[in-house]
Amino acid sequence: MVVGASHAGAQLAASLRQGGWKGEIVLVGDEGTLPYQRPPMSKAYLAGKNTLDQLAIRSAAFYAKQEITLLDDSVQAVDRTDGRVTLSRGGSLAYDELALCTGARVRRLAAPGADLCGVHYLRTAADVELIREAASPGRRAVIIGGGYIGLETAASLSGLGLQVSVLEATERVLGRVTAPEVSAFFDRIHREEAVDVRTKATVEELVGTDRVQGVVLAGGETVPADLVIIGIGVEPNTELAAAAGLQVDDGVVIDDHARTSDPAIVAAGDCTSHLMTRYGRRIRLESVSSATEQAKVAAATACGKSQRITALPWFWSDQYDVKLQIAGINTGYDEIVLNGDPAEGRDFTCYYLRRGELIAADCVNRPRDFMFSKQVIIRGGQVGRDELALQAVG
Amino acid sequence: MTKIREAITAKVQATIPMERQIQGAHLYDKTRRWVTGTNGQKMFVESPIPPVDDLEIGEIDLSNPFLYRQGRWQSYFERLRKEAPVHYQANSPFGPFWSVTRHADIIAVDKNHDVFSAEPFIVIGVPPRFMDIEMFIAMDPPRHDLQRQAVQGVVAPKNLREMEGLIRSRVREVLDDLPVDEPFDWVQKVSVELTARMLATLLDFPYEQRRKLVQWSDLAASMEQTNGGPSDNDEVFAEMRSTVRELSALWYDKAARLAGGEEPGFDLITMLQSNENTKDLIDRPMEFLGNLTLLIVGGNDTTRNSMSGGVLALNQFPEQFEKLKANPDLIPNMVSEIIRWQTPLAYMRRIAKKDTILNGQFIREGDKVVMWYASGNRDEAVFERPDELIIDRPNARNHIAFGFGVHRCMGNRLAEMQLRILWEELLTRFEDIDVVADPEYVQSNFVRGISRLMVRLTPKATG
Ligand SMILES: Cc1cc2nc3c(=O)[nH]c(=O)nc-3n(C[C@H](O)[C@H](O)[C@H](O)COP(=O)(O)OP(=O)(O)OC[C@H]3O[C@@H](n4cnc5c(N)ncnc54)[C@H](O)[C@@H]3O)c2cc1C
Ligand code: HEM
Repeated sequence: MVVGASHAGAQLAASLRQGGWKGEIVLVGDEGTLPYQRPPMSKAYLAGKNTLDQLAIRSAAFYAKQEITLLDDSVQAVDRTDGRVTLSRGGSLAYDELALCTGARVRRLAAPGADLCGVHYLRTAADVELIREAASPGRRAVIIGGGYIGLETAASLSGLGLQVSVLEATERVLGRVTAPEVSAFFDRIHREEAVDVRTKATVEELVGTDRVQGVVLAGGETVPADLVIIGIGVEPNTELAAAAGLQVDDGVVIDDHARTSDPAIVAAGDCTSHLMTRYGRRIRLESVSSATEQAKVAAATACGKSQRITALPWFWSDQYDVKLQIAGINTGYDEIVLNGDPAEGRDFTCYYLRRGELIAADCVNRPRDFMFSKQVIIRGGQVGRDELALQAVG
Repeated sequence: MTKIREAITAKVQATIPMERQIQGAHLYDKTRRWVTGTNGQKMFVESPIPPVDDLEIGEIDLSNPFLYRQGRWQSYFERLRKEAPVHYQANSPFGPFWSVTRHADIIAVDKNHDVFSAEPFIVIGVPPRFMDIEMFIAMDPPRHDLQRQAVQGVVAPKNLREMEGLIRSRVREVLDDLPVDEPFDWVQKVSVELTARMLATLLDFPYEQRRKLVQWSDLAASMEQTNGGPSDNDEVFAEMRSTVRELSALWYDKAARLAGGEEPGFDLITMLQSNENTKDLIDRPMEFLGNLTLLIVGGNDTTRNSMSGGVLALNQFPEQFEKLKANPDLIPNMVSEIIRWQTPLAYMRRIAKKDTILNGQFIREGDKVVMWYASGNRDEAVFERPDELIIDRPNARNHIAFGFGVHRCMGNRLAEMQLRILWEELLTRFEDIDVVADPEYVQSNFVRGISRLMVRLTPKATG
């Protein structure tokens, strides 16, 4: 029984079959669709370039052929002693092995007016449909939050012909995840594309009569808006696990085999927190690559095989003609090496080092550097600074 | 003048044994190299290529054979597409030439064979003596059409269906033998090996000797006129003589077997022998050699580098690999996209037969015009996010890696079939194909090649 039908859940179900699971497989999801790819939600799908069918992670025929039952329902509670789950639509189901892939949900903005009509969040296909309906050319969209999702949304909406503002509370966009030089690059790119990026812009309240009309900032200024999209991060869906008595620390705690504190239950994806030896601490990742990797390992564990979560996490983001690819995680870096100039043009790489070893790289339109960085980090990160500065471009 | 030359060539061909002709060509090439001062010399010394913005537009020289290896080519092409889509380079080591870099302009030139001639040859430099005759890729209609007609049946859809089963079983053999969980060179173990098998299938060449096809072809393509030197043309000619011996042996052996009542095969030589116009091709040795060499050389580097390029691209864009694994129905479209992304042959060259105007530039009779397919396939006016591999790109098939017009690649369906089969068979076997070291690239302005690609395979978990 797999709870949560998105990147982690769909992969886990498929890998179970591949790994030789003979019994029934039930994949429970509450979005009422075939599991679909989430990253395009703020990119191509928001821009109207593909349909949900095209974004299905696997086709309906695949699940039928692999004898994976898709159940449109949501799991309310887990009873570990009996090995049963309770479903919202009534009834309960027994399981031999349980996998939690409940993912994450958006963090809500705690400001007055955040529940006005015309205020949106962006995580699911249903969210995007609402935004697309409201996103006619010429309208003013205000995006709250200058993280990846906020910036991608800004790029997609400006591509649709809207006037877009981005409000970021701290002094720079992407402040939590990249070096100041990289933030400055994205700031410049969005300005070049006529997006109004404002940093140190704290939202006081959203105002409007029946629907949102403006966003009031701490300084008193009001930014007019026909449409507001809030992208201020996510929170893991851990309530189910916590209520079942599993250990939760930011995310559902898993070991290298994707086992939770109950060895009969595995977990994978955005809802988990995993001790990564490479980085020496527990990390909750929000990326498709790690959701997929953890799901494969979890499936192996459930099939009684032993695999470990070792793959290097990576991530990407598309904005306009800029493809950012990120290898590794940069937390704890004490030095950066730049190859190319973020202040000019649209390609460069920012390497992050800790004690002289490469731990991560932000590669902007540099797929070759991305591939190179992954190899170096996997091998332990030893690399000469000159090699990084010289590393072939392109 | 040319008439007389042709008449003499025909006469010479008919009377002098093939091997001797090659020897003669060799001497000729030696003399010419001496006269033109390119005798095994390096025309380019590899040095770091500057960022394109450091150059004046007139200084940009796309014939530099290190442009691809050093990864600067994208920015060079992009600048030309934007600022000088029909660009003149007056002082390259290969002489002056025009560069055409936009998709639409390239098609305009490639279509217009009345004005832009493929003769005498299709690389920027001067071809060695034996390469500049009797290959229809370097002939204009009507001669081109006659020659092409004689061989194109071998890659007709019906014939390809015949070959498919054999090609698939040969792919399976290779893949089943690959080392898993340990690094190896994909280029040697897969790309070169499978291409050799494909060509051996096409020619019905003795299977155990298939690597010879590759050797010959590699040598023939390693001329200093594309790689900027040095290369050992003496070695090339020695190898050519052995090619000739083997290929004529193959011809006579086939003829004997056919005469002895053996079922005709679906290979190239059988095809030539059973066609009225070509059944005595062996008596026109340079033409015979030209046609066979063209198929071997034409199919070799191109198919090989598409096989390597696909693995490289899917490592540079790993989310596309995930997409592929989730949806193997994307393979046919991905094959087109890989060929677009890799564009194994950077360009074809033409020579203006009369004064003409192309996108506002005045081109004089006799000027060399180079159609940069590698640039047209990254033209942002046609392909969105052109530098990325996007396996479900809706217009991937609009790429021009196979050229356009009368010379459009004859082997395109064979190449696509070979690549499709490779990916179908890979997906059923392996979970991951990880590139584990920086790839090495070929030194050439013509072939966009990968000479070494270390990978590690993770087998699919099985029950
Ligand atoms: C707009 C956007 C853009 C992104 N872009 C990128 C990107 O470019 N690259 C990248 O690597 N990552 C990106 N991400 C992150 C990536 O999408 C996530 O890491 C990934 O979706 C995690 O998959 P998951 O299966 O763990 O969780 P989720 O995708 O959150 O899926 C969990 C599913 O479980 C369901 N569920 C939860 N609880 C229950 C229950 N009790 N019963 C039944 N069902 C339940 C949820 O409704 C949901 O369908 C992006 C995310 C968003 C929102
Ligand atoms: C992905 C693989 C391949 C690529 C990218 C490729 C590319 C090309 C290009 C660019 C041309 C010149 C087109 C022009 O001038 O407009 C060409 C011509 C040709 N190719 Fe290919 N080729 C490939 C595979 C093959 C194979 C497998 C064969 C063998 C059968 C082959 C045989 C030929 C021949 C015979 C010509 C000359 C056609 C003519 O002049 O009429 N090619 N190819």
